[in-house]
Amino acid sequence: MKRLGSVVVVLVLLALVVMPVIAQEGDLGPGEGAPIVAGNFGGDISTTNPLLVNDGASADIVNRIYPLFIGNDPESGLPVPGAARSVAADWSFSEDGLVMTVTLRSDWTWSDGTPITSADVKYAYDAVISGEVDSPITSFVEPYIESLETPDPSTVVITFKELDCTAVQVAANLAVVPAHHYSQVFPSFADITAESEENLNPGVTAGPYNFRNFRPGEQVTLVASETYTDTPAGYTVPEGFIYKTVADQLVWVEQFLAGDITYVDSVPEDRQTEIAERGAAGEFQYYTSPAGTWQVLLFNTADPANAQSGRDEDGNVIEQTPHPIFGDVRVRQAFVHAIDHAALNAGAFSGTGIPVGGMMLPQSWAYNEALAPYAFDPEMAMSLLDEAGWVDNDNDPETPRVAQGAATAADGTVLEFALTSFTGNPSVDSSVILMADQLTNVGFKVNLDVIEFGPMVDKLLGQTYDALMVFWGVGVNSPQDMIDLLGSASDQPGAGFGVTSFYNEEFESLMQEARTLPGCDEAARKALYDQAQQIVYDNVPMYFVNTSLVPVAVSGQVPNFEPRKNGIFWNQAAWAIPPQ
Amino acid sequence: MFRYIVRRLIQAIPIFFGITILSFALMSASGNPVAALTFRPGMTPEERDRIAARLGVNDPWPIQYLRWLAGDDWMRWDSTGDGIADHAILVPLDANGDGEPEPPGDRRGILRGDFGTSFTKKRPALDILVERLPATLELSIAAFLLGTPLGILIGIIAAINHGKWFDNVSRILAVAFTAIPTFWFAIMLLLIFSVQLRLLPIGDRCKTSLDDSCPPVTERLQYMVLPVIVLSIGSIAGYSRVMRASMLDVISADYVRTARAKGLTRRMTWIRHAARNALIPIATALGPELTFLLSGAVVTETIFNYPGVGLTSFAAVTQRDYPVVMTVTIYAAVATIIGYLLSDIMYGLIDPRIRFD
Repeated sequence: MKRLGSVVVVLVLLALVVMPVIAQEGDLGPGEGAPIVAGNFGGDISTTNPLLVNDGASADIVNRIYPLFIGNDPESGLPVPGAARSVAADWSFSEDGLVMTVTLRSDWTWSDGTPITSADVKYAYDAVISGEVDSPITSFVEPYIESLETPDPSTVVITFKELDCTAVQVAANLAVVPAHHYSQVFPSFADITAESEENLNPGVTAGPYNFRNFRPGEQVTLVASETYTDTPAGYTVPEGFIYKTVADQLVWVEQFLAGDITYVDSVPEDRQTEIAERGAAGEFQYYTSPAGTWQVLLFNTADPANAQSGRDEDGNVIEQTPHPIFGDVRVRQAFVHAIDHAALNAGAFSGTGIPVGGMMLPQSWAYNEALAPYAFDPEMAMSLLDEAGWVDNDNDPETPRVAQGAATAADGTVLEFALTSFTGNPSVDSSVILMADQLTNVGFKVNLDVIEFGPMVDKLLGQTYDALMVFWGVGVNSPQDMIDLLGSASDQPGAGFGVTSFYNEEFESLMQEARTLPGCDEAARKALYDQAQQIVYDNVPMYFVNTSLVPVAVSGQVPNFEPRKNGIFWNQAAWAIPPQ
Repeated sequence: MFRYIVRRLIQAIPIFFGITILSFALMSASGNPVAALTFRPGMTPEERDRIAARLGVNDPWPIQYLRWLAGDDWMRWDSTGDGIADHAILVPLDANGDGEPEPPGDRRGILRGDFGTSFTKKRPALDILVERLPATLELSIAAFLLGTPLGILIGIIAAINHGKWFDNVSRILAVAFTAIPTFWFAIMLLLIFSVQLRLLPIGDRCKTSLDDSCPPVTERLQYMVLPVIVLSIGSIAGYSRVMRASMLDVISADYVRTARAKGLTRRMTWIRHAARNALIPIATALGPELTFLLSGAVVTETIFNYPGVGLTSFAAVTQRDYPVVMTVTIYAAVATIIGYLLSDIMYGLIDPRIRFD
């Protein structure tokens, strides 16, 4: 009996120690946690309408007050049935792969109590393909989806125009909006305009939070939804979410350090070392995740004085006048061989840059491990330039080379180009200066053209640049996005993203094959994407300077910050911050 | 005086239009905003042209200016009531060349109270300005009330104590605070008093909360301390130097010596006779000062995260958001005209030699 008593005492003591840990999340009921305060460095939101959202700040709010059609797994980043905050509970494909039948969950309602049904998906689809709504979603679905039908409130049947191995990703672009409410607020699709008052004061929502208000220049305020259940806790724990506008990075970081802001999702470069050290010292939680972009140098392979589309109205390839310098692949290869990446990384990125060889990022399933970044080899660079007809005619390495038998430029043309970049980013500023210096050593003459972002976009889309530095990327798990950057159909001066005017028939053929491969076997598709990446690697239409790790700092007051590989904030609606 | 004010206001009309024309021309020269506004995958040239046509940014800038000024409902209109434009003057019926007429113009122009819609925020530009005005006004009024009297007072005391320690110290500080860049001073104050000493908030207009609005000014004075100091320090330095110099001129004038010889006390002489006349140069500076304060201070508002007109106008300029830029320009132009008018009126009040008729 005495022994039993001892055991009981030990168990009670153990329970006293362990219970608070186990009950940490459960301690705070729905909406009982302190509000999450996030800094918004992107300016005021422009809309909360899922059909119209086109900027990061607005998307941050939309993602908290509207459901997704199809959601991603936070670990793999791939679409999965039944993902949190998504309405698609399951899906299947017809034998020919052309018809996708999606079954919706039936346990979720809009904030006014109306059930979320297939009609809400249908309304969104009809709106974006109507031609009356200026929606960024349109271009992601219209070219691929033949029709969308809703035989019953819990079923959506999507018919694709052709067999598409990216069908689920295409479908995931569809929005879910409260059809019963929208049809009242917007009598016709043409009324869904950016200027509508509904956009900044949504009447009906469904997500971890409900919309409370928008205070221009100050914050967007959301309050916990009482009906949301897709969190590890089974409800939304924070009382609300405050998306606070912060105009200056110094204030942003200092407010975080002072406890006024809950997390910083992208620590500014000049504070990264300090924040990492303080995080390591336990002052707050610190995490780095692979960036979804690379810093890339784009080569304009066509004549910037005569920007043309990649294809004519009938879809035929237009042969373009090559760029006098970068129209020759050997010059582009010489360029990348001339760059000392290690020095660039140390000088411009404080050693944090991660070299990449191909278009896909290392965290992607389609990453081609065989593609090592081009080696720093000035001799090879000079040899390639000689071979391409750009010679050092005065034997003075300090002076630029000139054309002598070059395929794309008249004899005597100086190997001179403008390297365009945008202001305001320290690593970009430093890297273009270092690059220019290194390129000078092999005979290039570089004219730095550092301009504001708007004019840079003009040059980029207008294809009037020579070489241009920008942050860009393809979807981590969407290798098909490569065609948007390098396909001739995207080469449309003034609009398309095929701004390098690169054209390679085999590349386009491989991309099409990977998209429409019967059976959609992932390994077989990866092999095709590997080949496509190899072509890009060999032809160097763009030079991948590097990618990086994005540092994230989260308040030590968040007990259950559990980042996942492809979803750092996946459980944010369950963050149990003790109330003040 | 009424007739004088009316006359000045009438004279201000061409100045106002001059300012708007110059601003519009400069802004248009900075480039077309459509590329940045449509920077997204899948955007087609046709779609881009349609957006450009809707915004009217491909028209020559004088047409754009005219549209901004007087609207476009008379430039392209529907005479049959079918919702499709069938007549146009100054602008083409089919602006984007797709074979279809553009929708009828629906802008009324600023002369009819329509300041346009922000390209980026998709809201009326006037609303955006009005939303930001209270923040700027509370800072500028506080800075004005602090900076102007303090600067004048320091100038008077420095002049009275000419050559003594107060005079020397105030002169050195005035030069120093005139020379110190605002952004540096603001950051230093923020780092010292907010970050290090934790005596004041790290920027913002009020405490972050789930509330629907900021509480009244009286409940959040701590948020105004640093920005008001930064905004007013230049005024204090400038006014003290002007006032000191002016006072030194005046107190050596014959009429001041005469007043003293007649037995008036030194204090009575300085305040009643010297200070009033020494204020005349201050009146000159008050107009531009008022304009500066009312227009919002970009650097101060940015560093202290104070959502005023300066902050929003800076963002609008970098995004080439013409309607917002022009709305702020009008506001600043009106503030300038009023500022200079007030200066002139103050001349008359301070200097009895000036007559408005």
